[in-house]
Amino acid sequence: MARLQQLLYELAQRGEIRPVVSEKIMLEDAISTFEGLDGQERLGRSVLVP
Amino acid sequence: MKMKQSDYMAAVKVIQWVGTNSFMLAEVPKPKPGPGEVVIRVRAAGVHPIETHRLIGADYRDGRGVFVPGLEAAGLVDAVGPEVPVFKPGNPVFTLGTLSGACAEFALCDWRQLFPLPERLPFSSGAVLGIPYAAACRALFDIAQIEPDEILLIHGASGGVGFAAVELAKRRGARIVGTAGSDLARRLIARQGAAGDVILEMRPDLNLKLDLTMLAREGRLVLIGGYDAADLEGCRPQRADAKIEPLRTFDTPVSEHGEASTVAL
Repeated sequence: MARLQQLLYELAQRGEIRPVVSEKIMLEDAISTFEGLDGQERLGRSVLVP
Repeated sequence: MKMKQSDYMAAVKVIQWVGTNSFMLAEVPKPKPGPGEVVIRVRAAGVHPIETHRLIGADYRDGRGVFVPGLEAAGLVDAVGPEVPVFKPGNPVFTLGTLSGACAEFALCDWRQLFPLPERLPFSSGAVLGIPYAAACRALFDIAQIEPDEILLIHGASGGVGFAAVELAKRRGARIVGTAGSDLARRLIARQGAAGDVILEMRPDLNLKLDLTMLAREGRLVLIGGYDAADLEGCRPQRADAKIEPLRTFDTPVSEHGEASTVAL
């Protein structure tokens, strides 16, 4: 495993970093999300695949 | 050979790209792992603004006319090809990139793109761990080489990369100023005459000129997203000893996520 990802894994495992998901989108609704991309950073958005 | 129903999967498919968005949900062939490859059953896929830059102006259709967006995912290992030294079916993993696109029921990956999913994280969080945190590491530690007690200004601290940078820089002992949503905080800082040792900039199109006036002595300005040297032509910081570096998050190979980051963390 790449060393950096190993460290990120360990930090997340210890709870020292916690990626935040602000929006959960179902796969069937992902089209509008991709169509709406504007190049701007937003807090985590995850497409859930059932 | 006729494919069985189980040889297909649901995926977001880009059917063309000619300056306008054109996506559809479609049945596409399920990937099969070759040597060194792993197929994961995707449970969550991350959505990133850099997808915009990745798609614009390029023909990403493969030989089957299929392009699936999505740069990273979290899920369970489904099938493992030959010459993969780790990972077994059922292992929970997160990815840093995929070969076939993450926004689908299954994604094909080079095994080196996979990492164990931390037990504390749900799949939805694992899907936004790889790229934002790797980008923040690269910007803070590999490029800017931020030191404890330096002042870090993050324009866009509430975005995925910005939030990751706040967490990581705090661990490093940097003093952090972040802006979110509006440029009010930035203007207040500028009015006070504050200068940043390191500035992480998510919106150079809006903020670049003022950033150039706010860099401290030997300051480092890192532009995050789809910006390259051509966009910086004619841009010079007021201080000759300050530096500007673009970071293209999506075209940095895993192998280049680097030594400085591992030392700093």
